[in-house]
This record gives sequence, C-alpha cells and structure tokens, in this order.
Amino acid sequence: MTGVPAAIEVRGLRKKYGKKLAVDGISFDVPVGTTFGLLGPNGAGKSTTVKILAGLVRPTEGTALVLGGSPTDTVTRRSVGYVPEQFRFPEWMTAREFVEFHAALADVPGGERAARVEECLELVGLSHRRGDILGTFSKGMLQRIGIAQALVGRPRLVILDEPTSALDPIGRRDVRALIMRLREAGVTVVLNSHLLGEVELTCDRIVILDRGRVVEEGTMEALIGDRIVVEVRATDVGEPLLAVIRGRWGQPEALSVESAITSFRVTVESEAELAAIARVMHDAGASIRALVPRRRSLEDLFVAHVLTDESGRSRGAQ
Amino acid sequence: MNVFLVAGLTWHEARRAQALLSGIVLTSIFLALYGWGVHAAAAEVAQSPIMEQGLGPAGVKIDLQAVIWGQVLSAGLYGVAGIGGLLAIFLGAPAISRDIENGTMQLLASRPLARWEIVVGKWAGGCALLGGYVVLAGGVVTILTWWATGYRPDNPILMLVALAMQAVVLHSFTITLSSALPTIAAGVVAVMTHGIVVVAGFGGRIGIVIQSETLQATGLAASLILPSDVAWQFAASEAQPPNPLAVAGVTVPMGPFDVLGGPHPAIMAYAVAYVLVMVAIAARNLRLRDL
Repeated sequence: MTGVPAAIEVRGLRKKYGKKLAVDGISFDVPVGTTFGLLGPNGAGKSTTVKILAGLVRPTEGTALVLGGSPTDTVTRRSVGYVPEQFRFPEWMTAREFVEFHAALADVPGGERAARVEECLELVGLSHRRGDILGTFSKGMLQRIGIAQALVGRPRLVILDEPTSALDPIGRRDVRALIMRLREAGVTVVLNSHLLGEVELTCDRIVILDRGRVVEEGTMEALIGDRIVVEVRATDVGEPLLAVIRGRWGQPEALSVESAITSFRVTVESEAELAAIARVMHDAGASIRALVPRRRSLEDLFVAHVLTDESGRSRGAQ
Repeated sequence: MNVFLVAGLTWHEARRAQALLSGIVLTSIFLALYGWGVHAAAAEVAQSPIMEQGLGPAGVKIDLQAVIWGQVLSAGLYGVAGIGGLLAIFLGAPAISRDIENGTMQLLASRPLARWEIVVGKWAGGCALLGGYVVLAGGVVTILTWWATGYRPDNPILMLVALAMQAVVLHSFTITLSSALPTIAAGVVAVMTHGIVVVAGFGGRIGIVIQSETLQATGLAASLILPSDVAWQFAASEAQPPNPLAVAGVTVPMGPFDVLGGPHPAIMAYAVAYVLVMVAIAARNLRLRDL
C-alpha cells in the first residue's frame, strides 16, 4: 500500500459452510477510490467474499473491515451500495417506488428523496419507465434498476456482484461508463465479474481467487503492464529446448503438439526478446513456423493461474 | 422507522398482489351467506316450540335464545378464525424463507437496518393485515347476529381481540418456522401443528366432560405448545352466555361450540408472552443466518 487509506481491509479471512471450506485465509486491501476486480473460476470463493463484505455472511475466522468498520454494522452499511448476483425485486412495485423504498432504507432525507430517485433512474437510463411496474421489465432492465437502488444512498463504496450478466453489449458499455463516473467521483467500486474483458477495461486493481485462496493480487498495470505474450509454433521441439525456454521465460503455457507442430505461449517483458526466442530455437534445431507477439491480456494472466480441465472443474496452475 | 418501512412493504405486497382483494371478495361471500342463514334461522326458530322449553336437567332454567344464538355466533366466528388461521400460515410461511430463497432478503439485509427490524417489520405488517381482517370480519358476524336475532355478547371488544390473537399467535409461530426452514417445510409444520393443537383442544374439552385428567392435560399441553386454539376458546367463551348447567354442577356442553367456560384468563397473558418469544427467536435466527 502507498499510504492511501483502505476502503476494504481483509485479513486471514476464512469461511466454512459445514465441512466445506469456501474461503481459505485470504488477505487483501482495496485503496479508497479504486475500482477493484474480484476474479476466479466457479467455486473460487468470490461470492462468499463479496457477501462477507456486504455484511450478509459472517466469516469463520479473520477480519474484514469496510470503510473502517464492520460490514455488519448499520453505520458502515449506510455508506455501501450493493447489487446482488441473484436478484428478484417486488414485481408489483414501480421503478420509482422501488428506488424510493431503498432511498428511505438508505436514510436519504425525505426532502431529497424524489430528486435523488429521479437522478438515479436517469443515470441507468430508466427514467422513461419510472411509472412501470417491475413485473414488466426485462432481465437487463432489472439489473439496471438494481444498480440504481445501489447508488441512491450516494455510497462511498459500491459492491457490484456480476452487474452486467443480463445486459446486452450496449448495456455493458453503459455500466462501464457508469463505473468510470463513480471512479471519477472518488467512489470505491468492487466488481465481481466473470467477464475478464470488462474487468480489464474498468478495474485498476484485481485479486484472483482459486479454491478459496488468493493466487494473484496487484494493480492491473503491474500484473499486465506492457508485457508481451508470444505465440510460438514450431517443429522439432524437444524437451531440452523446452527446458531452456522454461529456464529463461517460465513455464510455456497452452503447450500442445499436433501433426508434428508444437505450439505454446510464453510471456516476455518486451518485443526485443522475440529475437532471443528465435535464436534459442534456431540453435536447438527447431524450425519456426510462427512467432506472433501480442499484448498480454487479463485472460492470459487468469489462465496462467487457473486452468480448467475438460470436465469443467477448475484446478490451479503452477 | 425501518420497521414501519418493512411493515408497509408487507402490506403493499398483499394489496398489489391482489391477495387482499381476493380475500375481501371471498369473505364478503361468506358474510353474506352467514347473514342470510342467521336471518332465515331466526325466522324459523321464532315459530318453533323449542323456544318455549326453558327447563334443563336438575330443574335449571335455561335462556334458550341466548344459548342458541351464542352457538350460532360462535359458528360464524369459528369460520372467521379458520380463515384467519390459514391466512396467518400462508402469510407467515414465506415471510422470511422465500425472501432468502429468491434473493430479496440479501438486498434488504445489505441496507443500514438491523435484521431484527426486518423480522419485526414483516411480523407487524402481517399482524396488521390479519388483525384488521379478523376484527372486521368478526365484527360483521357479530353485528349480523345482533341484527337478525337480537343477541349480542357482553364484551364484543374482548371477544374480537381474542379472535385476532388466535391469528397473531399462529402467524408468529409460522414466521419463526420461516426463519429456520424452507417455505414449504415451514408451511407443512405450521399446518400440522395447528391441526394437532385444534384436535387436542377438543380432547381437552372432552376430558372436562368425562372428567379425564389425561385428556385435560393433553389439551393444556397443546395450548402451551401453540396457544392459538386456546385464544379461539377464549373468544368463543366471550361469544356465548355462561353455561347455565354449570351452576347445578353439571358439565354438559350446550352445543358444538360450547367451550365449557373457556380457558383461564392467564392463558391469554401466556399467549402474549409466547408471541414475543417467537418474534425474538425469529430475529435471532435471521441474525445468525448466512444469507
């Protein structure tokens, strides 16, 4: 940390549901004003972590401080907005009534309530449907109204649990823009999302969880930065050559052999290292078919930590 | 403040979900049939020689008019109590569990309100609906009986309060189940317990007639486990004139709804304490529950 106060401080957090360990001693910080991404495969412990931060689940061990207080404390929750992953709102309420109800729960003064509700409906693009009951809304519109209720109390921390899962590309773009506006306003945002591209575009700090543990943490710049992923395809690649590559650039990713052509990926610091790769391979007698550099993506980082086998079960990479 | 917000949500939910409208329509039909039935019965009984007989066993003088119309009023109130009891279970069983199952509770619980406020709000909203329903429908039954027969109980207010208490006890019990069990399970347990307690209440009264201490103890135990039926018995005892045979030491019910003097008034204090304990248990269950 760099002296910036933490909006969230998590230390040694563990959560067991019966015998099942969902979160296994995780620790991380989220500085104030950060847009923070929580990543991981299914069953990694993301939802449990988010629910602990929202004050819905009590940890078995460890602590989670939100805006300096306990997440279960009502004073803390006054400054937190939350969009749950699973949502079902009262279908008989109109959009305005629903946001107004949450404004009242969030202690928005009565005199400000109507204007604040209108502002939030405008923000999520639903002011034209303010008088319609939620039973007539599409899933994407319900997700937008969920975001509106989270923002109506002008929170200092917003926790978004899969906020765009039901949105079309335009809706996702709008939510990204909304997150950017919140960041500009100094609001801390925690984003739990399966959509890596979305996290990459909006977050400036991430944590990757796998099987309840933190497997990667840091700023997006430090984790991805300017690093280059090189896709390599070549023939005559033997184990001695792979050992050399492993020694200089780390474990080759997505290693496969098909029709005598070996394919793999390595991550390098700059494009200048392409020549070194080519030289090493040439010296080992390999015949290069392709050597394609591209900027490293969040997906590359994610896959490097969390590999998924054919049955869909997740397992940690080395 | 938050309690009122949550209670208001329960009230509006029932109103908008047309549960209230359906209830009003069906209850109006029931009340119309009751009013017509009592009016017709009053006309028939007025011609009947039965009204001229005024002497019972052991030469006790019996005010048959009061006994008969007390029983008829109790029958009407029994209908209201039956509907009110079922409504109490239908409103209570999903009150907490369904909101947890569909994610509504998570949103509510993430707001700056204590979980006990959610429970108390939902309970209060349900009680307001049930209490309003029972008092209104029971009040109309009482007025219809008075209009058709000229009979009215000595203390109709206490009678209606006890009738509402029956629904409130059942609602509180079901909400507590809802805080710990899935919706269907909470409903099934509540319906079965209610049914057993009603049967045990009959057993207790049979025990009084045949002087069986075991049956009387069964009735008492049931009323301690769930004091809803005992609240109904209290209301029924207020709806009827005192059993005229009691003065002669004869314990014979004067009709199918005779509760033989009714329960001891202390049981109503127990029912009030029971409700408070149930709400406290429900609040504790939700406070400790991971959502």
